[in-house]
Amino acid sequence: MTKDSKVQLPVLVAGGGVAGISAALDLARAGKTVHLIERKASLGGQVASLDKLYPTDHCAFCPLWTEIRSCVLHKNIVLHTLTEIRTVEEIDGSLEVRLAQSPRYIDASRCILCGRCVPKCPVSAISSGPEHAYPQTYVIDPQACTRCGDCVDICPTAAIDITGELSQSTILAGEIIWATGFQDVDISPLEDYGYGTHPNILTSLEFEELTAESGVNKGAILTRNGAKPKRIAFIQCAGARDLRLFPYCSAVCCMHALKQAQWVKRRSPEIECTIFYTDLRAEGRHYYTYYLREIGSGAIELLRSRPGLIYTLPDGSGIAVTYEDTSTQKRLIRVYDMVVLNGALKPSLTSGQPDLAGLTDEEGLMKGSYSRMYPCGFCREPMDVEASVVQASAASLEVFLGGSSHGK
Amino acid sequence: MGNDRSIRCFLCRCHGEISRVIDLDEVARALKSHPGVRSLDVRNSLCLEEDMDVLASRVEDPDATGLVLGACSLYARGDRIRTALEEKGISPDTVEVVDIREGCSWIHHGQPREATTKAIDLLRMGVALQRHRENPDEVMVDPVREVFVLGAGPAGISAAASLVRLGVRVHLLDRAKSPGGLLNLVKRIAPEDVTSDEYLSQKQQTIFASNGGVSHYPGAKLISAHGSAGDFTISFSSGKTEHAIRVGAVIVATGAKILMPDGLYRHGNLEGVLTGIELERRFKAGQLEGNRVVFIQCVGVRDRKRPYCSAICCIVSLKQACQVLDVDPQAEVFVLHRDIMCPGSVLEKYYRDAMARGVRFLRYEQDRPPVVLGDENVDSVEVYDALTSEMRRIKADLVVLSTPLAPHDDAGRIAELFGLNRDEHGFYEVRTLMHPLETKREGVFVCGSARWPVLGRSAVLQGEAAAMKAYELISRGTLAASRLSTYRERKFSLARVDHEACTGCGNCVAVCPYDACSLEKKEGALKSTVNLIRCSGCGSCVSVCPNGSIQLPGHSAMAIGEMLKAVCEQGS
Amino acid sequence: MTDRTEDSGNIQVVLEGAGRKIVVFACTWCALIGADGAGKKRISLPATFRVIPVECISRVEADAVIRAFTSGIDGVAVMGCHLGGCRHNGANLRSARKLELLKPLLDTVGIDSRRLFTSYGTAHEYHQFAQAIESFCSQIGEMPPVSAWSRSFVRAMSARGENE
Ligand SMILES: Cc1cc2nc3c(=O)[nH]c(=O)nc-3n(C[C@H](O)[C@H](O)[C@H](O)COP(=O)(O)OP(=O)(O)OC[C@H]3O[C@@H](n4cnc5c(N)ncnc54)[C@H](O)[C@@H]3O)c2cc1C
Ligand SMILES: Cc1cc2nc3c(=O)[nH]c(=O)nc-3n(C[C@H](O)[C@H](O)[C@H](O)COP(=O)(O)OP(=O)(O)OC[C@H]3O[C@@H](n4cnc5c(N)ncnc54)[C@H](O)[C@@H]3O)c2cc1C
Ligand code: SF4
Ligand code: SF4
Ligand code: SF4
Ligand code: SF4
Ligand code: SF4
Repeated sequence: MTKDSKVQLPVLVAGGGVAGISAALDLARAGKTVHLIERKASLGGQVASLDKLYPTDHCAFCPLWTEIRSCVLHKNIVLHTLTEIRTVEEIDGSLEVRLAQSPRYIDASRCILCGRCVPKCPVSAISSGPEHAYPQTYVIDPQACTRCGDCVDICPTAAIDITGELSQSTILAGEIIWATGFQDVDISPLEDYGYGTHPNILTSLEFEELTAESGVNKGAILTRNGAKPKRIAFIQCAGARDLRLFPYCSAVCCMHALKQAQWVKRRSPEIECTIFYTDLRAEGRHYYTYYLREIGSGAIELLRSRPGLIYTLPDGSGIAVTYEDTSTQKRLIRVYDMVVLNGALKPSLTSGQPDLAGLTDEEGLMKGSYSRMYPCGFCREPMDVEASVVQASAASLEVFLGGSSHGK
Repeated sequence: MGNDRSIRCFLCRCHGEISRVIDLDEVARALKSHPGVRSLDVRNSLCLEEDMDVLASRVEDPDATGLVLGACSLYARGDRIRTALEEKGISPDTVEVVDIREGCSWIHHGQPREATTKAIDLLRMGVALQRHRENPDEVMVDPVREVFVLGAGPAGISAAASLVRLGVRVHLLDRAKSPGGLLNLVKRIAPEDVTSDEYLSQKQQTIFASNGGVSHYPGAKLISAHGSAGDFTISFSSGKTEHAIRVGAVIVATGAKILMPDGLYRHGNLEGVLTGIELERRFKAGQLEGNRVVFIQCVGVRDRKRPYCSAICCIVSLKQACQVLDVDPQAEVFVLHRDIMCPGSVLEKYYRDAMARGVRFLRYEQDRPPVVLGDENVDSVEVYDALTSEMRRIKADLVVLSTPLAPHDDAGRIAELFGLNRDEHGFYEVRTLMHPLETKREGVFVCGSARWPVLGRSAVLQGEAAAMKAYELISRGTLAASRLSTYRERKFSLARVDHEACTGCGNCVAVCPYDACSLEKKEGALKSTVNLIRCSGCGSCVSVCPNGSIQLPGHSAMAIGEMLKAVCEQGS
Repeated sequence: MTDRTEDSGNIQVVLEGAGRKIVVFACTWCALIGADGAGKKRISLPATFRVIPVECISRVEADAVIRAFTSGIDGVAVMGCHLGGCRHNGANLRSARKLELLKPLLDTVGIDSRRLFTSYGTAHEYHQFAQAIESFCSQIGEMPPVSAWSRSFVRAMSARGENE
């Protein structure tokens, strides 16, 4: 309550996924100035690339979208997209954060979405951005762009400036909320899963993107080659609960496997779906009801078994999954057209940022608490959307409490 | 008829994106002569600062003017235009952004004539809406800076302790004599591995050392609750005295009850068959006999009668299994389960550790549950092992039944008092996903096991999160009811009743999803009244009123009627 | 049936399919987003429909639908969120039920109930919206306009119509 004589420092929220967005809104509504830092060009995190969400079974972007709009329109929130945190240093009880912002090239406040720049680009570096991004703006992929400048003159509102460079800046923050979430993992080092040996052995996120209503196939269930699969296997705990890769349980994959299998069934009832699982962790709010709804109908086969080897058949006609039939203890083989590897998800703080690597524990997750820094969401512990949002609010509270007890 | 609000139209060429398809000259001609239209301009890009300044400068009297802008969709640039104009002092209520780009020129690019006709229609509809718009009702809310917390378990305590540290006065009520909730009955807390006293002591100290920041009412009884976000009145009795307090927000943290097994697995008539909580009592008393212990999971739950997973009991049994091993490292401990629910990193590690310590796990199938054998005392448990497909007989001294948490018997009454919905299992319903602790009643939050069974760690987190949400509400100072909701940042048109026309039929009361309508005596007759703090502007009431006496002022039936007429005007 | 044969006798004189007018009540949280997406993708659609954005389709009372038909509209689409998945505590469920009840009623007054199209949570993607609009518009285009008799009949039926 008692205000320090020094000016109130802003709070920095790292990561614009569901956790980061919720934290930013909580803080902003309660009166803080917030800098929301997002590595990508738009907010939403992983949920933005999902199709539907359990347990509601409604579209993922819808609940997310309102919050993103609120964030963008809130006057206490300063948004930094295409920005990463480089270093954090504690100086005199405040945090000096160095940021690196990639150039946007297209000024979102001027881009009227006419799309004239797209055909001008010789290397197809310009696109209209993710399907449900907000605010809408065209984007130039900085990696692909050759700075030829062909697009600049066509833009009727002079929104394009390709002279931009990576810019460094420093923010003095009172606190940081870490909400950097997770990433997909390449699990090809675990050779038994066969990832990388066949185009239709997919990670969970790849499958979700491939089959999303807003995706390339408009919700149709098709393999990478555009064919209609007859059988799909969902392999649970692939690379998770596995001491070779991630010892932890990723907490979300049992439920999203049910979700994915169910949506396959709704769209193409003739496709056979099998879920190979260890424990079906449907313990969250209304999750068991969700589980019963899908399993009760018997349409989806549940097989309690951890598959051994997954490999491409020599003639390329399918993907073989070997497993043990627990009732007969025989090793069996089944052939599938698509195999989805659900499990391995990696907390995304450490990747590419050695300066921050010290913040995480041996499993790559953020530790419980730090001085003036509060982690929440998936980077802290694997968790679903609701838990991430709850933890984000609790972290926001910590910001207020930490500040006030410090002042005393 | 009509309205003297003067309408100023602006058409956007959008650098050709609109004007290339739509003949804006023709549109301008058609609109200029349209009743109510006072002026019309065609600009290059209304959404850019340059044009916005010009636009704002044309509005001398924002209250008497309606702006109709023929531009792009709300989600493209329309939102931006409205926000930018708001910063210039023009209320978004008076600005109608008519989408003639995404909704017209871009989807009818091959049909310029039809597109032009359509653009005229759409703009006339916009004009009709602005002309027949009434200023929305608004009440200001100045939230009481105090919070009511119901239930002093880990969730309620952490909410109260957090709020008091933020300088908010808290009223903490529990029907039990001592705080701590269910954890009082538990010896050690997993996965933190501390005693329950240690677990809660820090928070409890904050509360009881808060110099009256928290009024704690143990052994109290809730009597009634009224009001809405920012101002609730709650009365309860504590001892012989009755209290009535006013608070700005309510946090429901009433937890759940422990389900008793009702004779399942011969509980109650065979010595040695205990529930988890009975085992806790033995731990507390330091009396544990026997070293062959079998835990049976999912007792009375995940079945037809209670088709949910209670989420905590697997970990509770793992903890208790380890506690048995603490007492006697030679003990033989089995956990018979259907799935072990240990999601995440901390709990999964707890599971691995229990396995490493020698706790043995055996999976049974729902339709072949274990059978407890014995005459007077437990002798053994017979179970079909789903992994090896064999019948097994396990010698046992104790059988521990892992029963779930279930909603309290008085949950229905509490729900009624605070206007909560309950889910199919009886737990309090919340707004899902991005608003996991908020309920249909703005300003009432639910946390802990009252919402869904959770461990202490989640109960504490949810308590803190609920405290944050309550703080957001009450710390914002005076604000307009239509902006109250954290559910959206946009301003809404809320329902309004014409008391002369209302016949008091009560249809609106029956359908309102937020209990915002109620019948009250006005000049001797019952009339509907809208609580603007609760109303969300959904319009359900409008659709059932037999005589049109309840309306959304920004979108009245009259306005929609005029819009429909505008569609049909041309070409007939 | 007979009513409809009379209908076609009446109108063929004046209009062909393109002249029909269709209104679409689109929920701002769902179908309007699909509509926006269709625009962004420059999908070519028939120009006969006019969108009226609404906060929630529970606001679209039977009366608004009837009023549309009396005003001269030939097709009404009501497009909202997943049933029960709406932002107003499931408000759209109840209103959806009402609209479904209205359909047989329309048939009895000679307004083919296919003229009232409802969609719940299936038009939020650009391709879904485009597909829904295209098929509805072409369906209405193939039907004759609503007969004058039906229009006046429902006008008389609608209490609020008289108030003005
Ligand atoms: C296939 C799949 C399906 C799922 N389905 C569901 C479901 O149906 N229901 C459900 O409840 N949950 C589901 N989940 C879980 C859900 O995705 C997570 O709970 C949620 O995304 C966690 O949110 P977050 O904000 O913590 O992290 P994220 O969503 O990962 O967001 C983190 C954000 O931080 C950014 N970022 C990362 N590092 C940096 C940095 N250094 N600097 C700046 N920004 C950075 C990222 O770009 C990202 O935008 C699913 C998960 C998967 C994999
Ligand atoms: C056998 C057993 C062992 C457990 N072991 C562990 C463990 O090791 N680790 C762990 O983390 N969790 C454990 N738990 C779970 C833990 O008890 C719960 O997570 C926790 O109690 C939930 O906290 P809560 O505040 O939501 O609810 P509760 O603890 O249930 O507290 C609710 C409070 O509200 C009060 N109340 C209820 N209704 C009313 C009313 N109408 N009016 C006034 N007051 C009311 C009650 O008196 C109570 O004090 C265990 C549970 C059981 C049953
Ligand atoms: S040309 Fe300019 S205004 Fe048009 S899409 Fe490209 S950046 Fe945006
Ligand atoms: S949630 Fe994921 S890691 Fe955990 S048990 Fe299920 S599939 Fe395995
Ligand atoms: S937590 Fe475990 S014991 Fe409890 S209901 Fe769920 S699966 Fe059964
Ligand atoms: S608009 Fe909706 S919330 Fe408001 S009073 Fe009417 S029915 Fe209730
Ligand atoms: S439905 Fe209409 S007439 Fe009936 S009580 Fe409500 S406002 Fe009054």
